[in-house]
Amino acid sequence: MHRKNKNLTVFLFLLPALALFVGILIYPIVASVHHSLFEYRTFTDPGQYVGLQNYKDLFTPKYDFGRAVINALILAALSVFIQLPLSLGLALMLGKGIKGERFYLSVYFMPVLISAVVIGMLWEKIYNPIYGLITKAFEFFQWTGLPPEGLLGNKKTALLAVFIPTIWQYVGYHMLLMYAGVKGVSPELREAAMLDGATDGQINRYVIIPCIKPIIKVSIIFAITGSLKSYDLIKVFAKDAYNCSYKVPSLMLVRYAFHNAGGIASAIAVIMIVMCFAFAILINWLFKERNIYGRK
Amino acid sequence: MAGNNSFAYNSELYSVKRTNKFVKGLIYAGLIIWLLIDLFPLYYLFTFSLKSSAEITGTNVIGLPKEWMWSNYSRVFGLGKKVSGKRLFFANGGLEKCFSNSVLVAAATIVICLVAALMATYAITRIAWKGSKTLNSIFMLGITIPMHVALYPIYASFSKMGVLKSYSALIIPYAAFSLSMAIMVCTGFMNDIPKELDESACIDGCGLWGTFFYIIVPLMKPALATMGIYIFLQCWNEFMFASVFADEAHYTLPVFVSNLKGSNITDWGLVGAGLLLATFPMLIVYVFMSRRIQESFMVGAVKG
Repeated sequence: MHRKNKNLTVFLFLLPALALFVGILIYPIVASVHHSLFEYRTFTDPGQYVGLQNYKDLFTPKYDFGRAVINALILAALSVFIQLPLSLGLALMLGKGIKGERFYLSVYFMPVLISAVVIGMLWEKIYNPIYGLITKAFEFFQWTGLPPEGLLGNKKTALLAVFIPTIWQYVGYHMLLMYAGVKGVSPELREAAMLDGATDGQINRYVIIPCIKPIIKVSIIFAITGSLKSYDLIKVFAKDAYNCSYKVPSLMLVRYAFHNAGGIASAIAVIMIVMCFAFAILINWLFKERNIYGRK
Repeated sequence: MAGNNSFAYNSELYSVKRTNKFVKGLIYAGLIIWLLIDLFPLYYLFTFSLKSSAEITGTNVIGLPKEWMWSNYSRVFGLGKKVSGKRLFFANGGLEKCFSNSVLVAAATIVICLVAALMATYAITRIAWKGSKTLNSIFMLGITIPMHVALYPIYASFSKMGVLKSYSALIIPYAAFSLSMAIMVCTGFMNDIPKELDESACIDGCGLWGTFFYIIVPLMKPALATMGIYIFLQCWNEFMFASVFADEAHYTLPVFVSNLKGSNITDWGLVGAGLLLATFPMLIVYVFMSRRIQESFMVGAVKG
């Protein structure tokens, strides 16, 4: 085949994917970096060149973007340190081969398929300060200590109230990934450990968890980037996206994009990409197979 | 990937029989507790969707409804319909319209994304050319790029091009943001197809296009099914773009659901019925295809 002809064929095969990728993924990144240096009060008019002023403004009290970043990081930390261990525990228990394994697995995974908007509306009812399930439970058992404005309305508990539905929804997802890993551990390894007299706990700790490390890594990356991006649920909860105690970067991005501050929105977008990549690289680096003889 | 099924259920091998009774009891207790936590909010939703407001707010909070209010459900279908020239509650196409919008958007996204991904994967893994590896790793970066980045620039360019407020305004971004994952999964599957098949096709006089259509595509069916399910679920539940890029004629189900809140409807029974009606189709599909759906979620993560 002629070389020229082959190059053309390769190009044609790549064309649809490249068009989508460059048009919808690469272009917005370049455009965001560019837009973030301008005012962009409307979609068509760039306005004045302001340099890095948008980035500086973000961290002033007017926008208080620092709070949003901290909230997102708290959500990410809660996911990694509460949600993932819970998922791992369930996966290890299910992976032992018990009766009704498929049933448990399928039920645990079910919430993943429900739209986050539905879940947000459902939990909003559960949190309702007057008629909600939690309020009624506190009344019934005559417990006290529930904030009168509800868990979502209270500044201190708001972030936790956002986290609980997230964990409820996504434990099943991470559990499924880890379960697949646990099932993929070769039975010989387990048997060998058993013959050597290892207890269940020891097998889990020294055989299974090291074997499923790559999957745990993927789970951690998904949990962190997912928390940084979280939008749907919070959007449903938020009455006022601007000034609520659980504001996150994505919520601010959407708000400013459509409130005559395209430059600010673009700066938020750029910071979000940087954060997502930084965390992905960091986690990959932490999980890198290290040479057992010390430094490489 | 197709051959090495990481989702094997060889439950005999790790039998729980040898575990002592106490540990076994603990395991079952743990599993059942999470089962209850998982199901209770859904049970609560189901019951309040069938109650009158008086029952929900007062006497009967968590029990089964005393009077089964199926009318809540029929009232959901009336939402967004025009009654004597005025729309009920909110400007929206109504449940059926949003449902069919969702199906249409998801179906088109699946087709576009899979065609693009298959062709690109073929060019990357099966045709030798300089830079194929580099291009592949560039595509893989797409998995980490958050969709939010596209919101402002794409909104601006779509509105300039007049694509906004149409089905394509949702389909194109959805397809683009599923593309990287699709290419990754397709690469895994395609690497399992022996290269000898291509070679013998070539000897028999089949060109690159012929090999692609007659050899590769038929063998990639399992990958397409897996990836199709995954993309479907991504589109079905997407909310941010759906709420911003579409107008009321093109709203999808998540937007319908969020609109139940928007118009100050304090009628919990109606809201509950709306939430359940929007969720039911997915749950019914899940009952019949649970294993396939679970596999489609695992392939990406396990491969990556």
